[in-house]
Amino acid sequence: MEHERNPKLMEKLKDVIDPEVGASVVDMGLIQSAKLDKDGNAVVEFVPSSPVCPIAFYLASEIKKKILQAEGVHKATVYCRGHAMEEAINKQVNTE
Amino acid sequence: MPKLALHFRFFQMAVIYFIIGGLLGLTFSIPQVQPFTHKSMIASGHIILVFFGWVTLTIMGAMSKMVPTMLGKDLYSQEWAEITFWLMNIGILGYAGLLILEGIAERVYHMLLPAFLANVNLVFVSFIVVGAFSFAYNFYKTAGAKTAKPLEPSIGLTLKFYRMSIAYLLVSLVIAVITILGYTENIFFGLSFASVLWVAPFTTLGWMTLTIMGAMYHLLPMFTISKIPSLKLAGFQFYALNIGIVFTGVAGLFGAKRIIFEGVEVTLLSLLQTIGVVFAGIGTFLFVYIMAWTVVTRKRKDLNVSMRFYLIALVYFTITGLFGVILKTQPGYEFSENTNIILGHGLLSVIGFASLTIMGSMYSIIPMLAVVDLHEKKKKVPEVLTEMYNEKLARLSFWLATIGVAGYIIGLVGDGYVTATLTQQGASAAVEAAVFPFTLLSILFVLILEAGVFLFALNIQKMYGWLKD
Repeated sequence: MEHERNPKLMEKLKDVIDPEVGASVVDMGLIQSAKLDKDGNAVVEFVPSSPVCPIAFYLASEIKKKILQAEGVHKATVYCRGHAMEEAINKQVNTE
Repeated sequence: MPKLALHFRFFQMAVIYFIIGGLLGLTFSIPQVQPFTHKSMIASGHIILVFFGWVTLTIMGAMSKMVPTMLGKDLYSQEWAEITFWLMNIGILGYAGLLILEGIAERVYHMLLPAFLANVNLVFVSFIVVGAFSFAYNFYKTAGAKTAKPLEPSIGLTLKFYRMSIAYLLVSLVIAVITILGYTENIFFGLSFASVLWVAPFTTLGWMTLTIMGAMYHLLPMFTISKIPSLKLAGFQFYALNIGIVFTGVAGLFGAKRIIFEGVEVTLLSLLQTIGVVFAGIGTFLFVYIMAWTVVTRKRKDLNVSMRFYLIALVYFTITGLFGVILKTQPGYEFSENTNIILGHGLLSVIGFASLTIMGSMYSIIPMLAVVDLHEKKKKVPEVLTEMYNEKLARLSFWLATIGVAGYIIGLVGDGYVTATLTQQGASAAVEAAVFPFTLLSILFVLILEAGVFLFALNIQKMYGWLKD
């Protein structure tokens, strides 16, 4: 299935660097989808490089921070997928 | 300054033991020192420092943090983990210290320490044993087969390795305790506490190697952004190696050390040993194949310092595996008996494989876990993990350790080969002069290795600086 990747959001996400690799989450292909509706609600789904990657918490937080800096974005929701602690990560990042 | 998180304290102590154990090991290479250390209590103290202090504490620290992360839950009891940390450290320091003291008294001053110290020794051994059991209790309560349901099959694979490896640690300790109480003479092949830890496949293969394999099954794909070729194949590798460990372990404990080959009689025990060696060989080489495949098909093109350590460790693991099979044959055993060839094989496994893997892992795991801590405390997080240490120093430590291990082992094996050849030719008197170049080679390269370990320790300490307030 083709996932939607909003160019404006993807451009902003290029600034999120995975500190383990030193490359952006976009270049690493970690962003599964990046959607933005007309009301300024952004929803980003990402898959960390490993289901046990300890820095997934940090990445989720950085993704949210950067998305909120994008023009026209009022609210950002980030979902981490395929991680052993995804429930805790999603809860933490979306209630921050 | 606030106390470091428990897993970091485990790592910190482990590195300290690595340095002390390494320095002791270094002195063992010097011919003038050898009469004091060869097969002495000092050597046993060194083994305790390396095996429990360096290898076991690192594993315990890593598991106490990584296993709950894998399962998306908390460690069963942080208090238990804290108790484990103290029990293990008191036991290791006390037991190794007393052994070394005993060795010095006996070999240097030709005197025996007061008899009551044997009981003190037992108390320190008890600390280690209780510490290991408390660790196992905490682990199984967190990740036991009935309590933990991993989301991902690859996590399940790693946990399977960990569950078994801890079981082997406990089995080893039970055997060691029976030995130290003096009950094994009639049961097992005569072994001392330290030599149980050293020679039994339950410890070197079961505890140390199985844990490292389990860790590599999730760390290597994570560092390379890759996947292992097949979970089924990995599962088969797990069972093959376990058959190998149990069969060779049981046969070895009852005195059957050789495989059926030229001059070895076919008995139930020699058959057990042979089947065990075949399965251990399959398990070993299959693991190397799976890891090599994972690296070759990786998405991440550069090789970070952890990966470099892993690759060299795998090369050394393959060589020591081949070595192990040869030494299990009667001609191989006869040739190498009482020579440094056996020591070379053992050290290639403990330093070349286990220690290099652990060093490589620490270069990635500590920064990653530090990022988690820094992020939680809303402190500055490094843009790239390599910022947390000196990358040039890391690469230098990698090369020094790699070259050091290679030269050191070549020196030991060369020494053993010359000794065995001259002894067979009845020219024992010529051995000392003939092995001298190899002795020099060993000393030179063990110094290089130690320099690598020091740089590694400095770099690791630098990472903790990020966690200071």
